[in-house]
Amino acid sequence: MIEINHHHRQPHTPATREFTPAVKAELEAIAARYPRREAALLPALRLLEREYGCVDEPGMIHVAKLVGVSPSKVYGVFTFYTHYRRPSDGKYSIQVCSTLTCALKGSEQVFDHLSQKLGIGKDGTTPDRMFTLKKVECLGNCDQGPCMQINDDFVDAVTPAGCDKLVDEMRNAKDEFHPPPQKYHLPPNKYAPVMIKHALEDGSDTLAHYRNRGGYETARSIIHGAKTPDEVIEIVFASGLRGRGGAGFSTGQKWKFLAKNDKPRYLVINADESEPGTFKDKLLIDRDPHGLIEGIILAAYAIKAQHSYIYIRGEFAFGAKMLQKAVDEAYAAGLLGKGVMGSQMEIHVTVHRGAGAYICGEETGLISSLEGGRGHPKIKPPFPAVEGAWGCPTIVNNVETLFTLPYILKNGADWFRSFGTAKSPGTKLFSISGHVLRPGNYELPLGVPLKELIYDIAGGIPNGKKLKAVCPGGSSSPFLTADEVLADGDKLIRLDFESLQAAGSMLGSGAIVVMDETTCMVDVCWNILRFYAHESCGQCTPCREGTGWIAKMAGRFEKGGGDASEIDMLDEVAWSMVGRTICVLADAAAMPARSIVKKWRSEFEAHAAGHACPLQHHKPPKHNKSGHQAGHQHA
Amino acid sequence: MPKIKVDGQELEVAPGRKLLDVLEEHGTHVPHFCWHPGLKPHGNCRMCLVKVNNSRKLEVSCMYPCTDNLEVTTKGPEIEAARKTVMEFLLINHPLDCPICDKAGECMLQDHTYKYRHGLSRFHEDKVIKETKDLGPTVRIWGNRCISCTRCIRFTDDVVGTGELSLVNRGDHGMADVHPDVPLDNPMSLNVVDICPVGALIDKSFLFQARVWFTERIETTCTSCSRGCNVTATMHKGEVKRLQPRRNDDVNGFWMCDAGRLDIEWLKSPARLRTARGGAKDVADQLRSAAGRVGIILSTSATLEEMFLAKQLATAVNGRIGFVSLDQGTRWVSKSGFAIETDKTANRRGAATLFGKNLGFEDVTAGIHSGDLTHLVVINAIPNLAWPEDIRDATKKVSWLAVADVLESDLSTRAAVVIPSAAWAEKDGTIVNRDGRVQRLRRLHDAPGAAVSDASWLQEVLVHLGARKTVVSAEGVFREAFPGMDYGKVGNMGSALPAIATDVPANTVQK
Repeated sequence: MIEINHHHRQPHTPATREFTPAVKAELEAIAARYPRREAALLPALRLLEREYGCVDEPGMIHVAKLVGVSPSKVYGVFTFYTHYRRPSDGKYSIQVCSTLTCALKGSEQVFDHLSQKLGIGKDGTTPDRMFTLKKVECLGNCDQGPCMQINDDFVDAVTPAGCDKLVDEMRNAKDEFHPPPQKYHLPPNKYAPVMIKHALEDGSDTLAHYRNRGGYETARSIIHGAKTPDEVIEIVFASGLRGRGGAGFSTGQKWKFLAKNDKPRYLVINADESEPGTFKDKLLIDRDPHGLIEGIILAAYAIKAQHSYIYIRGEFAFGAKMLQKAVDEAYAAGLLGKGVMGSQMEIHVTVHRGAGAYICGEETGLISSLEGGRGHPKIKPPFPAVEGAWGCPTIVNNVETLFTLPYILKNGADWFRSFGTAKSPGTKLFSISGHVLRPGNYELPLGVPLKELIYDIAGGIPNGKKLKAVCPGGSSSPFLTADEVLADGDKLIRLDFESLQAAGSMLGSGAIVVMDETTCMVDVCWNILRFYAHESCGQCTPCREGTGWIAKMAGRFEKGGGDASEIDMLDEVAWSMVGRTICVLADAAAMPARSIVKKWRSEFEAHAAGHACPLQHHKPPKHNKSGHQAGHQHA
Repeated sequence: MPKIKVDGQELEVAPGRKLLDVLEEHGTHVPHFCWHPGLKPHGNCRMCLVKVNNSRKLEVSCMYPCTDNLEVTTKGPEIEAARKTVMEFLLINHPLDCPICDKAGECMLQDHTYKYRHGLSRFHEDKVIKETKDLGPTVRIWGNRCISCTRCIRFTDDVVGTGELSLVNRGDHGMADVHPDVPLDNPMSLNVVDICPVGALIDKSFLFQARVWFTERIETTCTSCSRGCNVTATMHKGEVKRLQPRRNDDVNGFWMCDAGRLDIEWLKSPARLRTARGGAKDVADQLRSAAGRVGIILSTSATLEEMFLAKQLATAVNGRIGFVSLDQGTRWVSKSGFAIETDKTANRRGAATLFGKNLGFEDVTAGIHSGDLTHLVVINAIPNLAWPEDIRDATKKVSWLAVADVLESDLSTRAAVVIPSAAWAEKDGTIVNRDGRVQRLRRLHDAPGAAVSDASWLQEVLVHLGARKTVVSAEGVFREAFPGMDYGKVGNMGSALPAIATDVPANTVQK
């Protein structure tokens, strides 16, 4: 189904929208939590969605007036994010994840099945306005792939037969249908977990449960003077904790970079977990939100931030609910707010939902989004620690990083350093998915050999298949061949920052995607490039144009339309994107693509020679001359 | 003051300035798209890459602050290669429809393509297709041509402050756009067309009007209000096709308003006066006979030269002189401080210089009502002026009426002598803006029919009256009025108002 006009209006959309006084009051309360009113824009669009079922044009005009920005700003913001409900969306928006792991697990077949069953294509809506079918990018639930979301609810391990059942249930539901809640699992792990050992216990998300296991005691003692803020910073610095979001920068050092001026300071928690293959923060958010809040209290105390904002990706609606519940509990118990735990401290936490944009995981893109804008990364310097949210010194820390703090501050820097390696101390969560027997989250000391995780801990490759490739640190990391992964001695690859860097890749977010011998690497290349083309914010020329170009080229190769002489060109174009842009999304697209072109060049050659995918993953198109698939289609 | 080195040459710069600003001023051209001297820098096009202190990465010069001892390299194989890739990227989804694009010939993308890129495109995929549509009453967008530089967006956000434009969609689907129900319709909207570095934003009034390489450009001054924005007229086959602002930081910065820009429409109006009834000799004869009973009403849009000659005429026939003006609306000021004045006449300040602060016409009309004045000469350059009732009544009472005007009116119908006047675009002259700056009007094209400049027929009348020897050019009159000055000294950007000749040299009429 081709939509020529993106802006068509629903038949019964009124010319104007107006919130009830109660909703307006709700918006005022939201706006009061930010230093600038525009920051209430993304939440206000959520209110529109809730009140009217979608974000429509008159609604945007109303919100523009309430938030104090121009209607076009709202329109620009709305069209930047993919997760808001469009006026064209049916009652159930079925969003099938199409990114790396889910694709390896057969999400394309799931999508095709749904498409056939519902009689609609990508972004199509059934005539009864019951279903809209979407292909979406990584939902951060990779160990359960192929996964999808029905509106805000996750559905794990979807099969074509399962789809039939779901569709029937939705059709027959008297009220609104919700799939059963997600089941969490932690596979057995010979390295006894420290931080996530309670995550699966009943009620682990409640304040009572957290307190029963000694929760908030570290924060209480420190806030009451056991450590000064500077001492906390020194301990964290001494622990060698490195950011768990992907860059691996020293957390203590980052805190030390804070500009010393009269401006307020902000702590922003990056819960925009969206690096393909990564699903670790989701576990912490859903199952142990108080652990995160205690970490926030400690960090806020250390850096003297009165207000912290948890920026959680839009797709994690359940996670946002869990966080909000935990934050409310903490406020009610005097753990947050004015006079935290009976002290003179004032610490506020606001849960801020994103709306579907990978780039908001980049810290300056996140700040732009938090401020109420499109998630455009900002030019650095100035770094956020000097000029961040609302122009004030800001620390952006990943969920897992903050989650680690209570453990470090309770047990000391030396205790933390007793795990891991000298330069990569501590334990870290690793999300492993793809072709392994036991995908899931594993808390491991840094430095465990990658092959030990794959073959021993996660059970190896199923069905007696051989390993072909590993993406060791999220899809932005250069891919490794089986030979590299299996090497010993000097070449042994360990799961720490240095070892993976030495191997020409990176630890990133600790997301390991395993691909067996049946995997077509050209298809993989196309898959991840589609992701980056879809997620490029579009500011910088090389990224905006380059990501789309190389994605289309890879797609053409996969469908048999490539020529061997173009393989070098794909690599060259990717290379010309590197280091030329405001943020590193362009590099994140180019580096893994280049690694695949370099290491599996023969597969590109085979595609070109046979004018088709040798593994028949994608048949050549019948009519489309170039065979490219639109990377994305925004409403 | 920090010292920086640009390609080996040392420069002193004010601290905190951005590198590209300094390079542009210094005359070191660094190609760019998103940077514009009148807008906040944004750093998105990645074209202005330079090497700084031999760093590993190239830096965008538009965002790079000048600090002491900075060493900048703007040339070299690495930089040229980087520019080439940016050009290649910019062109892959661009439609390359120069043959049907109005920007062709004055397009930065086209120019930079010639200069910084060569060879064939390596892009063999389908291009992204975006919309072509009206953004509002004045501007149309070709989404396919948009390179997301955000100049237009920064203009509406930071200069105008109305924010009608935003970048919409994401990645290579992004383009500048309005909210579907809220058009781009601010009073300065058309500036976005000038600053668009490609042909995405097109002035609907100029659409398909002329290929710019067949046009001629003439620098002149806008007369639609007392600000006097410096403009460039694009001329084609003897017509003004458009006006565009010309940078003058003391007057209009980089901008002009839409009303001024579209002030060319009426020049071609069928209501223009084209034929004369009577002439300078008739005027001279009548005024000679009525000396002492003559009223003259002049518009404050008249040029300094015309005002000076009208004053000579008043002296020669012992007449009274009065002024008609036009004030409209309330003063509109943009977020950045650009103002559109309520005084819709170009030279009220000039009139005040020559005639003093009291610029009413009541002295003249009172004289007519009392019977003291019997002859009236009306000289008007304000188009579509709603004549004050008092003047209308007076024109009915006088025994003889001469009207020099640009457009027909009930006054011209009634007049014994009608002189079709050349409009602002059809004559040379000078006007003084509200801040006292003398600026030049240049003759852009012929006046319609028998229309003549007021300065020339006024001189003819004075010659007939024996009050002048010869008819000279507008500049000749200017030199008489302002001894020691000439148009060269006024220049293209205007100058402070010089001292007027103290005595208006004119002889009294010899009976």
